[in-house]
Amino acid sequence: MRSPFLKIVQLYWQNMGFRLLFLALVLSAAVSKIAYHIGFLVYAEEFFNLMFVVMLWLAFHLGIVIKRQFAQYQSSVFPRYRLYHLAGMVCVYLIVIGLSVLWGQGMILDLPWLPHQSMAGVWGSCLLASLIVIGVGYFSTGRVVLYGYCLLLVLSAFGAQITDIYREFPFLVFVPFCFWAAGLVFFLWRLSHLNEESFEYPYLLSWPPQASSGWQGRPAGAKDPCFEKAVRPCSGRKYFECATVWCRIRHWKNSDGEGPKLIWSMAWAVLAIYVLTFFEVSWMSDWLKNVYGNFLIFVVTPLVLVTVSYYKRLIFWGYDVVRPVSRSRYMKDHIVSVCLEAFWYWVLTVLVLGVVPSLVFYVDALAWPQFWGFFVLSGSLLFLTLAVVVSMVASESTVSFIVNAGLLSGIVAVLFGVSAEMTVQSYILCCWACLASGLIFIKRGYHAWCEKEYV
Amino acid sequence: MNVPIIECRDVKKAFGKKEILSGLSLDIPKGSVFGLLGKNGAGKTTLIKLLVGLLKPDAGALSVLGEMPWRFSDEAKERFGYVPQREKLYPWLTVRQLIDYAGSFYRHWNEGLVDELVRQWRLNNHEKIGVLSEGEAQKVAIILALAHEPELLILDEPVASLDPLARREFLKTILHSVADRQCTVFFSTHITSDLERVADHVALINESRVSFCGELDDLKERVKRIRLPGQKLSPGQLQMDGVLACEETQGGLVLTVYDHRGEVIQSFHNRFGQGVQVEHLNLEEIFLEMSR
Repeated sequence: MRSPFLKIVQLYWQNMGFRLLFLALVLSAAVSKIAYHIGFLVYAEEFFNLMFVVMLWLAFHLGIVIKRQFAQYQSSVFPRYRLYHLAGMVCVYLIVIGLSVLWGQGMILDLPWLPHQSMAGVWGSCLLASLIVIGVGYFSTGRVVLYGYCLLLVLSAFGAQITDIYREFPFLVFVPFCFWAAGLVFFLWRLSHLNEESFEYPYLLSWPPQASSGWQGRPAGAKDPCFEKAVRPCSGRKYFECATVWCRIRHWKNSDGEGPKLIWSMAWAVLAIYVLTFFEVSWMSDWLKNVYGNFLIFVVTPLVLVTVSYYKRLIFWGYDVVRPVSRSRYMKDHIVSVCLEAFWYWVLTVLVLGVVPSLVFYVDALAWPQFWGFFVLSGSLLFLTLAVVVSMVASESTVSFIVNAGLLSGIVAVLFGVSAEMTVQSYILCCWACLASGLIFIKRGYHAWCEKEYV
Repeated sequence: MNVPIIECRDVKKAFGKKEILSGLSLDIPKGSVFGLLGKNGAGKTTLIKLLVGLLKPDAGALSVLGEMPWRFSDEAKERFGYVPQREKLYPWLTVRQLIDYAGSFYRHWNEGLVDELVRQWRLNNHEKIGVLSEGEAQKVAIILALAHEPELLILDEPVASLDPLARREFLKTILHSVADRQCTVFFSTHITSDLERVADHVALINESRVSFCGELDDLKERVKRIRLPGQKLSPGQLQMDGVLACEETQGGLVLTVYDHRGEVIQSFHNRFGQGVQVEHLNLEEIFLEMSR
């Protein structure tokens, strides 16, 4: 009989998402190494960056897989379950994440334009980032996902400055290591004590969302503030009395939980950025001033907000569709609602992180057509991204999901690279292309959702 | 009474390569209380999900309230109520909020009935769904299915999580609904005593097909136990059409027979004369014998 330890390691490998992401990690690492050896140093760095992004996705997925192994009754009932699973988890984590970070260090050390001193600090920071992302996947609550996003957003903006700090103050290289080690110990302790009373117990991300076991934490839920706050009271108006789609959307909102309130999580991050800028913390004001460098933020932030709030609802769609509302109308309502919500979040993000800083730092820029073209492009790309997400979420296939996500990331990366240097004509062309292809994806997604079965 | 409210003809459904229903046919008369019995994995929940339009059949014809469930109109959806096996109710809403939310979709919503059931089942309107026990959440799901006073109630193991008192109240409510409004009730359950108490029609699903569909009394009339005291025959010698099971005991042979037209029992009488003892079986025993 094979040891339970090996069977646990096999659990990770049997997970299709894990396998595909691991493959992407190995491939991007190999390509970056080959590019380095044949002298294409710029491409080597590009693929190294890709490898780092894939590593973060893998870490997020790892967090989800780990949670599913511990947030269930077997972890409390089976003898030595936690011991074997903790050992398996640490091994997988160190082998997959640790090795890729080591590889990355080897790459960075040899790139001539990057600082060579104190690369151990960079390595420690990467490990720490991976642990934070695992934690985001593990906790799986909307709030933690958003806090994690905010944290990584801020961290990613200061990659170069962090490296400079390690160069200037080499003794600081131990700091990320200490945080990482402390975080790992805390994580192991948390996993060894996780039970139904723990606040994070009920939150399980799953793919597809309907496969989630639903609500599984009665005692934990009773303590979680997310479930204590009142939601919007039912207006008393009947659904069939709603003549317009806007009215129908408001009706569905009657059953909303914490979703819309998640915006406040972002508000704290924005407030922090503003305060730091106000006190002239140079990095922060540089970051806020660099509006064109924040293209991804304008696309990703509304997407994260809207996805987090809708993911939770999906679990209950199987029960909602038996209400006297045709599937086509039900899906139309929700697709319009998702798009509208994303639009408002986008307007808010653009205002707060784009228009207001420009008003303060470069008021002349507001008169340039390119300035507005840049933002409209980010909105069009957000629409396309959302449309692809709507379409691919309906498919339920992990492979199709990852392929679509990969293609989408490619499009976003290309547009990100050129977004700040385009002419007005190219902005218009790209916007039309994004909107037209977005409409095609939305239509495809709508039909797929209408024909979807709820098992 | 004889007009079918649900009609299934050669319905097939598979998940991947696993065939769950293979050519299932069933008619459910209007105004009946129809019980569905079957072993675990027999396809009861799949059939119910097909009937409420959550799943699409791979082949065959399905009609519920005169419509194809997968393309139900809003009007048809107003006419039935559904209680799933594992209720998925928004945990962050209170009982009252959820009732108001669900009620806002229906033109007819009997608030009086809701209040009465909430009181009768001792539910707290201000409690969050997420902190209710499984049984309490099931009660809420049942209230949501009954409140718009549907013509057809489709229930997937509705009483599995209820205590005996709530089960009795629930069955009483169902009987009242049938008596007052000619409501049709279609439900699956493993509690055969409940089914015996309220159902007038029953269907048995065995190996992806319907092995019996008809009136409960008819089923009880057809399946009997025959005792042949003192007989030393081997079970193989009694293999014939209609014999479901044959067992050797110390006192003789015990057979379970499915006697379609009374011929099987008659043939035993002819062969073994006065020594044949015929016994009635309850539904649980019938289910066990027919599911072997």
